[in-house]
Amino acid sequence: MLEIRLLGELEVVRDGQAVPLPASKKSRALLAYLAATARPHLRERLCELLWEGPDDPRAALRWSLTKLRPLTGSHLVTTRDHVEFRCEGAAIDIRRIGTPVNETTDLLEEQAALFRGGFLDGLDLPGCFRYQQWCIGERERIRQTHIAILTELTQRLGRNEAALRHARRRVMLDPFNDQAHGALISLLASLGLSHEAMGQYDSCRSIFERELGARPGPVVEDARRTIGKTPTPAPSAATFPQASPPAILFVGRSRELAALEPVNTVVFFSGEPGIGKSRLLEELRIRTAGSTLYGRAFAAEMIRPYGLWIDALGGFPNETDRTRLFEAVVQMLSGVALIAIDDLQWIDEASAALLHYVARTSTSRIVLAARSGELEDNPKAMRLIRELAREKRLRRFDLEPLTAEETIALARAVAAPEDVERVASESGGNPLFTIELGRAHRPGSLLQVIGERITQLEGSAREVVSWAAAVGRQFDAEIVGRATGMAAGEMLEALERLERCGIIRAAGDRYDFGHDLVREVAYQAISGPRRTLVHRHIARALHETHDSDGALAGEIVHHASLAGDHALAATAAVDAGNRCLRMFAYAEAVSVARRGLQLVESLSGNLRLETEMGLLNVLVMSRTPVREKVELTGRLASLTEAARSAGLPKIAALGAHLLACLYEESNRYLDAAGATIQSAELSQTADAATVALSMANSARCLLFLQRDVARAESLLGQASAIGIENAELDLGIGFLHAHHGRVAQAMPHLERAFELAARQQDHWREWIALWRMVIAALEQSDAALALQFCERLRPIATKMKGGSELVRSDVLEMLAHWLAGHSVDLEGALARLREVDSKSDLAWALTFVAQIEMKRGLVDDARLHAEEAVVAAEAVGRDSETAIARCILGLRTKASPDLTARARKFMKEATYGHTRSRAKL
Amino acid sequence: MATLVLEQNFEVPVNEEELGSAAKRIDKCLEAHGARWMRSYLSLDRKRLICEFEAADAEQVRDSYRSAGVEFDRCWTANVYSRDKPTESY
Repeated sequence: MLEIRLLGELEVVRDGQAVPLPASKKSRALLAYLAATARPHLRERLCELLWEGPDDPRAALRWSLTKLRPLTGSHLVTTRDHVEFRCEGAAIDIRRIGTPVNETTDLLEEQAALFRGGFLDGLDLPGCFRYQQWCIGERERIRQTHIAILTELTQRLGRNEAALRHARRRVMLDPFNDQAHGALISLLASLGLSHEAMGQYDSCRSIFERELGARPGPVVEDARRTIGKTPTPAPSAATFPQASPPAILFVGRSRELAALEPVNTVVFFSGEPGIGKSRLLEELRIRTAGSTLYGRAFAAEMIRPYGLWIDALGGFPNETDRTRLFEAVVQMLSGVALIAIDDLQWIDEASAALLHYVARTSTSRIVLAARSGELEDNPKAMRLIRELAREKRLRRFDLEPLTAEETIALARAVAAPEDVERVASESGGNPLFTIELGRAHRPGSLLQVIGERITQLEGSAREVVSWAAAVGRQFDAEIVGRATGMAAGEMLEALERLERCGIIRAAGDRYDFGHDLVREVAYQAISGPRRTLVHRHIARALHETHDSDGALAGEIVHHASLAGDHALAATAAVDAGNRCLRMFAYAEAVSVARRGLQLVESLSGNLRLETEMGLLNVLVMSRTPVREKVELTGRLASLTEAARSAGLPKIAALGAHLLACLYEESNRYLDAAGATIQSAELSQTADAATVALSMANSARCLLFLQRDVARAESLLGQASAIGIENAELDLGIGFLHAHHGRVAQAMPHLERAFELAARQQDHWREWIALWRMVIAALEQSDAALALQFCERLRPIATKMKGGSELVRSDVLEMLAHWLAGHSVDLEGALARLREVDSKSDLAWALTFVAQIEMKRGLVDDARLHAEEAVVAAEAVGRDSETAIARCILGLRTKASPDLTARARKFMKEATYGHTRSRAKL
Repeated sequence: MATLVLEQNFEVPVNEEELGSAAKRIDKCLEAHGARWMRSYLSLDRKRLICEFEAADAEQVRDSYRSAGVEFDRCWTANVYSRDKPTESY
């Protein structure tokens, strides 16, 4: 049996004995190539691969083949034109590697053992370009497969030494991957190896800082937080809370348990309440090797965008747009083997959109569960299910009642022996009903027996159940404690009692009801007036909790509205709406703002004005159709007027700003300009930050539109007097100085705009600021300075997708070299500007070149460039370049020394548009 | 005026509100430049968008997108090609 090992150094083994390899590296490379590809190759292609050159390549190939024949025997098949390695009956290691997710764990372990090193270690031939390209490509592909195998194994094996070995190897192979480091740190921590976990964390930090000049991502910090915290005996890995040991016997559902294959299909269970959907999800999590994630939606109408995900992940990324946010969540989920989402019938729009994205992009298996009758009431949930079905990703199971045998088995576990038959027959195969009947003292409907169990509770346990039911979702013991005013000891005792009798259960660091029906029954049992009181206390308790991010605001709106506390509800609605905007949950933002606007009717005075303006701000900033927003105009206008009369300048300024936004959106530019100016004027009595922002915006608008430069100058002057940092402000001032030819004054502002934009990751403004500095340096004939700026310009341009910034940066650099007297392909540079069709830049570059050529006495070249400059400049309305180029065309001989001064004079006049005809000489 | 084509790809399918909001911001800049949106083609999966503009040069369109903070994949000047009436390029 012939065995060829390519993973590591090349080895040939025949009948268990290593065979000596040919001394020629090319012959060994040929063997490796033939074995790895295992298909016929034309002799001339093989020659090109390894022997391209002046010698006789076919003879070299023949010679190599004679060296390989003794090693490979009948596997090497050669004809006049072709050479092939036939792998039937031979073992080649790379051919045994499959797609990791589809392999069994044992097979994956075997595959991992095949890697003795990288693909063809040491068999590089830098002189053979084609072979080397192939080798490098294959090496990287196989390295990625190796990483995928190790990742899959680490996840599947849970917490043990074997998993640790694979996680360590993965970090060695992929040292700049923070996920790999995070997984290793978590694993070490979960095995109780805190010291080593901390050492790994330190080494990861230092690798990232030394090699990448950056800190590792949040996944590593999250992993660090698990050090010293993870309880040792837990069943499997890592970052997310795992399924607790089952509280109740699991019976039946063999068909559904087998439903998790194939991997890229979402499995969806639907059925009546109590039929066992949640218990099935729990069982699937217990049976999944590796990390799992459990999330559930709640019935209460609270505005909690992504609430399901925030609860499940224990945190949420902070990103600048929705796509990045979704990608960050998918990254957090890498390594999660199973995602289980319960009570889908209550999902919010934002969570549904994210779930759809995760289903399309994540490698985790996904299972969903929903109450069949209520799913149709939630259009977002229905849309998600329809979309998944349309994409052929959904496998749906309607859960049937348990069979008679299964019901009896379950009843035996919960009921007294004499009651088993009765309980099994009365429950009709509904598992929850079976369990509740087994615990109940007398028969009744499902809701009756649950109700009976709750009324039997005594003292503080009964009290806690009512309050917890009113919270409406997983509850924090501290909040319930604060709302009830119950002492901590009494509270804990009550919680313990409720947990023991299966009414509540721990869910991470919170508690949840054993079943949502129990919560519903407990809530219904609270009398009407008492409910109001309970909700008021919960709203106050939440309100007093430190909540800088507004994460609780949606819940406060819910409880305060039910308690009739309209002031608290409406003010919380503003916070909740702003939080929705920050999270790109626009539908939720509109919904909470509309709810707040209904509540605001019962408020009065300044509080009403402030709250109403805050809510309108949410509505205007959300992405609702313009038509609907425009309907707000009247309400905004009168509110702005009321704020002004009430002596609330800050609120009036916000109103004017929102009106400007609405006008802009509805294309009423004239109104927009008026409102912008009004906003700037109103702001003069508001606070400093509002003033600076409003003025800088107005000035930038005017400068970009090149209209009313004098007014822009005045606004910029006032804004800069306030002294608030703002990239727009410095950009505006820099452009203004440069516009008037005051380069020395322009530079510090442009540099500052560059720094501020860089801090905000605003690459376009970074690039524009620096680009203007290069232009200014070139116009000053300072080639050395221009080249310094160019060095910084190019790296920014490479970060910007899709535009012409890279070409425009390159051209400026070439012009700087040309100015310095270096030999460059000037026409090539200009051709690139024509190619990207950047006429403004082309017009500027042509006039710049023509001016220098005039100085150098190259009059004909200058005329040609100036003629083209006029055409380009006129096409895009660049009056300055038109004026300078026409000025050059008017000079028939070498330029007079005052050319630049004359041109600038024309430029200034032309820009202001007073004497455009004079510029045409 | 030249014909400009701008291409965008989206990771997540875009919705009407997102398209409308971006268009409003871009339109304002386009108008300032004297450029004009002609028509757009949105793929059925809503993940690819091709827009056609009339402008003096491609930079006006690129500048409008950059200034509005809207990302794009490429923007190029085109000749309108028709089989019945070939352009100079063909």
